[in-house]
Amino acid sequence: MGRRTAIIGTGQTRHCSKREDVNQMELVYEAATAALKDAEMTVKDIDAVVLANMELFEGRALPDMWCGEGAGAFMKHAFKISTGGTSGTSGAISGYYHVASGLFNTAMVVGFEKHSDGNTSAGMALTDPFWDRHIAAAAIGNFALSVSEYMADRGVTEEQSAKVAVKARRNACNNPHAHLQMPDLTVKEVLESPMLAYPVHRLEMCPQSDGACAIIYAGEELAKKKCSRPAWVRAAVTRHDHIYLGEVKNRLSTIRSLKEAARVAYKMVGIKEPLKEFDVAEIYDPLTYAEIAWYEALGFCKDREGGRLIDDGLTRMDGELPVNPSGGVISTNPVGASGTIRVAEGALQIHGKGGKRQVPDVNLVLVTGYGVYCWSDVMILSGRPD
Amino acid sequence: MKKDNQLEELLRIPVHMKLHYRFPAGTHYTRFFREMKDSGKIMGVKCTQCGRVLVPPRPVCGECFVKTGDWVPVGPKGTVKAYTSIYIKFIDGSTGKPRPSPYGSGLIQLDGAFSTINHILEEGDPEKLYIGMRVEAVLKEKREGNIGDILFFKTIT
Amino acid sequence: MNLRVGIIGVSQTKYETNKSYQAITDTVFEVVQEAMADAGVSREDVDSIVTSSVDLWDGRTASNQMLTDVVGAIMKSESRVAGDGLGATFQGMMTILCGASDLTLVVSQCRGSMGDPYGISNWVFDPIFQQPLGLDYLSAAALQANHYMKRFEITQEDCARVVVKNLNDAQNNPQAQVAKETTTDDVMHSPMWAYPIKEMDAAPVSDGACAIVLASQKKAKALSKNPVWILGAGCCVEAHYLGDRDLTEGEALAKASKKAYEMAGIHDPVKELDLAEVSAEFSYQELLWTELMGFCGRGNGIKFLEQGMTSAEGALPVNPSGGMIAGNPVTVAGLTRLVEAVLQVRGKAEARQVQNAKMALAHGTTGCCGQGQYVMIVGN
Ligand SMILES: [Zn+2]
Repeated sequence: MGRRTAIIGTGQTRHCSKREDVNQMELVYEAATAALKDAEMTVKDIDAVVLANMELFEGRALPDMWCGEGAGAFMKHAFKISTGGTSGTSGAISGYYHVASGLFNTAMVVGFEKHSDGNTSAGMALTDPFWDRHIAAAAIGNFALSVSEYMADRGVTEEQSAKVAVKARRNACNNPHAHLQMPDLTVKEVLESPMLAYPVHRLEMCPQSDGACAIIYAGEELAKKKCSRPAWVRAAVTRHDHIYLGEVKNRLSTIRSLKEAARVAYKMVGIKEPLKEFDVAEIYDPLTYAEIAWYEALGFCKDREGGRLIDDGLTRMDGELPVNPSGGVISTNPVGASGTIRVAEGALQIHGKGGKRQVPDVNLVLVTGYGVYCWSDVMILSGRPD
Repeated sequence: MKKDNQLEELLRIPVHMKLHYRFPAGTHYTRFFREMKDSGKIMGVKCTQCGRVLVPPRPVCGECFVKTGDWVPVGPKGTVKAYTSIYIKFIDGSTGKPRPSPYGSGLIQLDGAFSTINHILEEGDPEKLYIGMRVEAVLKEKREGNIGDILFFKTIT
Repeated sequence: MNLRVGIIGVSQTKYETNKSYQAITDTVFEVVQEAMADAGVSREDVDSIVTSSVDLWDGRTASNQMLTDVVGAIMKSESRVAGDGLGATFQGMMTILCGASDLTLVVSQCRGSMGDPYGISNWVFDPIFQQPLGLDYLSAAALQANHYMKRFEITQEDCARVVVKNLNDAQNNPQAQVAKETTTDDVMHSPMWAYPIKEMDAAPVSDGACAIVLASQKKAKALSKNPVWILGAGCCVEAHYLGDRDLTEGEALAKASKKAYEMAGIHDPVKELDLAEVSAEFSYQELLWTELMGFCGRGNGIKFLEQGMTSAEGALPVNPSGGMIAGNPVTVAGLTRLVEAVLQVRGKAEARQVQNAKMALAHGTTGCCGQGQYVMIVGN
C-alpha cells in the first residue's frame, strides 16, 4: 500500500441557488482559503491541486485553467477530474493518490459548481446525441423511472421517502453551509410539494446549488504534526457500470457499482457490520429514494428493510448510525462539489469540528459518491491510521 | 455575502453559446436508424458471448468486452418495466417546443430484447400506468432516420 | 521514485482529418484492444482505467461515460482527467504508486472534426475579460509568437524551418496525418491565419486515439521482457490571464522539466536524452519549448535547429514522428508523444527510429499558450 495519508483541513463556501457576489474562480478561492485557514497552512504549503467540476453546466472548457488560480494552483502541479456526479469524490480520491503515491507531501482538492452561471438542464440533456436527447427529461425523469422499479421491487413507501427529506432538511439546520434548511418541514409538506415526475416531489429531489468545497491532504509525518486528529484515508474505491439506463434492471436496488465498491472497501478495513461499526455516514443522496436504496446496498440493513431503518430513526442524528448530519446532497448540491462535501463532512466529524452537527466520539466514517446512474465511489476515513 | 442592494449593482455578463457538432453515428446507429426508416423495423444486436440482445445496438458488449454479433428484430410490442409521468417542463428535442405535461415516460422492454429503452408513453396518467403493461411502438409516417421516428408507445391489451 | 511504473503496452490510431466513417466507440475499442494485446494482458488483468477527454470537444456532458463499455470499465474503476492525455498518465502513475492498482489502462480520444476546435477553445478563456474578446488558441498563440519572435529576432522563415523538418520527418511515420516533402517556400506561401501564423505553421485538425498500459514495477517485470519505465515526471500550471504572463517566458515548462530531470537524474538533457517528442501546436512553439526545457539557451532554439541538433540524426532529435504539425487530436496529443517515446525506447519506431534510443522525453500541454505543462521521461 501507499504511504499513510490523512485529511488535515476542510473548507466550504456558503451554498445557495445563486452566488452572484462571486465568479467561479472567486468561489473556488473562498473554499480554498477556508481549508487553508482550517489546516493552519498557507498556499505555499500546498504541493499539488486537484479540481473537480462538471464543466458543461457552466459551459466552460478546461475551467481549471481559469479557476485553478483560485485554488492556489499557480506554478504548481494541477489538473481537473470530471466524472459526472462522482467528480467531487473522484477528485478527492485523486488528491489522496497524489499524496499516498509519495510524489507529493500535500495536495488540495477543490470541487466546485456554479449552476447559476449556466444552464444545467441543457448541460444534463447533452447526453447520447442519438438516443437520449429527444426523450430524456434530464436526471429527474430517469430517477423517477428507477424509483417506480424500486418501489415495486422493495416495497418502500412515499411516507418513508418523505421522512428522508425531513431528516435531511432538519439536519441541514445544524450546518451553516447548507443550502436548504427547513427546521419545521413535515412529511405532509414534502408530499404536497409539486410533483416533478411521478412519484417524485420537488422536496424529495436535490436542489441546484452554487458552491465549492476544499480538502487538504498530508502525508503521515506532516499530518501528525499539523493536525491533532487527522482523518486517515483507509479505503478509496471506484466502480463503474453500464451507462444505458435500460441495461441494468432495477437500477436503484441493483446498484452493483456501489455494492462492489463497498464490498472492496469494507474488506480493506475489515468492516463486517457497517451499521454498528461506522460512527457516521455521509452518502451521496441525489433524491430521497436513493438514500433508502443505498442503506440496503451498503449493507446497513437487509434488502427491503431500508424503509424500516428510516421509520425506526436509526439514521437520525441520535440513531445508531447518523446518515448525512450535514443535510446531504438533497439539501446542498453544487454537483462538482457534492462529492467533495461528503468527504469534507466525513473528515470534519473525525476532526471533531462538526459544531452543532457533530456526532460524539467519531472514529470511523463512510463516504460515498454517485454519478450518472452508474458510477460509485466509496471512501472510508478513520481517526486511526490503521 | 453582500447585501441585496449591493448585489443589484453588480454586473452580469451574458455569454451565448452556439457551437455546432457533427456526431459520427458509426455502423450500429446508422444501420439501426436506416432499418427503422426504410422498413419500420426496430433492431437489436446479440452479444456473441452472453447472448443478451442489446437495444440501442452498439458495437461492443460492455459486460463481455467483445464485439457484438447478429442483428435481430425486436418489438414493436413490449412491456413497461418502469414508468413515470413528467410534470416539469421539458423541451422536446424533435420539435424544440415544450412537451405538454404531464406526459408518460417509461423503460420499455421490447419483445426479444434484453435491455429496456427509455421512451414516451401514450398514457400519461400515473394512476393508469403500471409495471408489466403492454405497449407498442408507434412510428412516424414520414421517417427521417433518427430516434424521433418512434413517436411514442401506445397502450395495447 | 524508489518504485517505478512501467509502460508495457501502447497503441495509437492513424491520425486523420475525419474519422466519421467510424463511431468513437469503435475507434477507442480498437486502440484499447491493441494496447492490451501489446501488453499481453486481458480485461481481467486490468485494475483501473484513466481516460482523458473534455466535454466541449466531445459535445456531450460527462463525455467519458460513452467510453465505459469500450475501455472495459464495467465493474472496474475509471476516472477521467479533463485535459491532456499526459495528465491522465499522471493520474494512472499515481494510482499505481499508491498501491491502488497494479495494472492501469490510460486512454485518450478526440474528434477535432466533430466541432470547431478554435471556436471551442474560446471557451477555455475566462468569461469576463478574455472570452468576450474572441480569443482562441490561434489568436492567442499569434500574440505569443510575435512577442517571442520580436524578442529573439526570429523570422517567419525560421519558424517555417520547423514545419519543413516535421513534415519531412512525418513521412517516416505511418500514423501521421500530414506528411510530405516540404520547403520553407511552401510554408511561407500558405495562407496567413493570424499574423505571423500561417496555415502550415499550425497543427491540423485531427481525429485519433491512444491507449497505453501502465504496470507496477513487480507486474511490469513479470509481464514484460522489456518494459519501458517512467523515470521522471513533472507538471506545472502558470497564470491564466495572458496579461499576467511574459509570453516569451514559460516558467511552468521550465519547472515541470526541471522536476522531471531531477527525478530521472538528468543533468544535461542534450547529452542524456536520446530524443524528445514535444507538443507544439504551432511551429514557433517547438523552438520556444526546446529553449524552456533547457535543450539550448534562450533565443537559440532556431540555431539549435539550424545546426541539425533536433533533426532525426541530430544530437537530440525533436519530434522524429513529425510532432503535432503532422497530427493533432486535442486532449490526446500528450499521450501520442508518450506512445512515440515508448516506441523509440523499445527500438520499434521503424522508419523513424532514432539510433540507440534509451531515454526519451514526452511533453504535453493544456490550455492556452502552454499554460499547463507536462513532462515525462521514459527509458529502459
Ligand atoms: Zn455480452
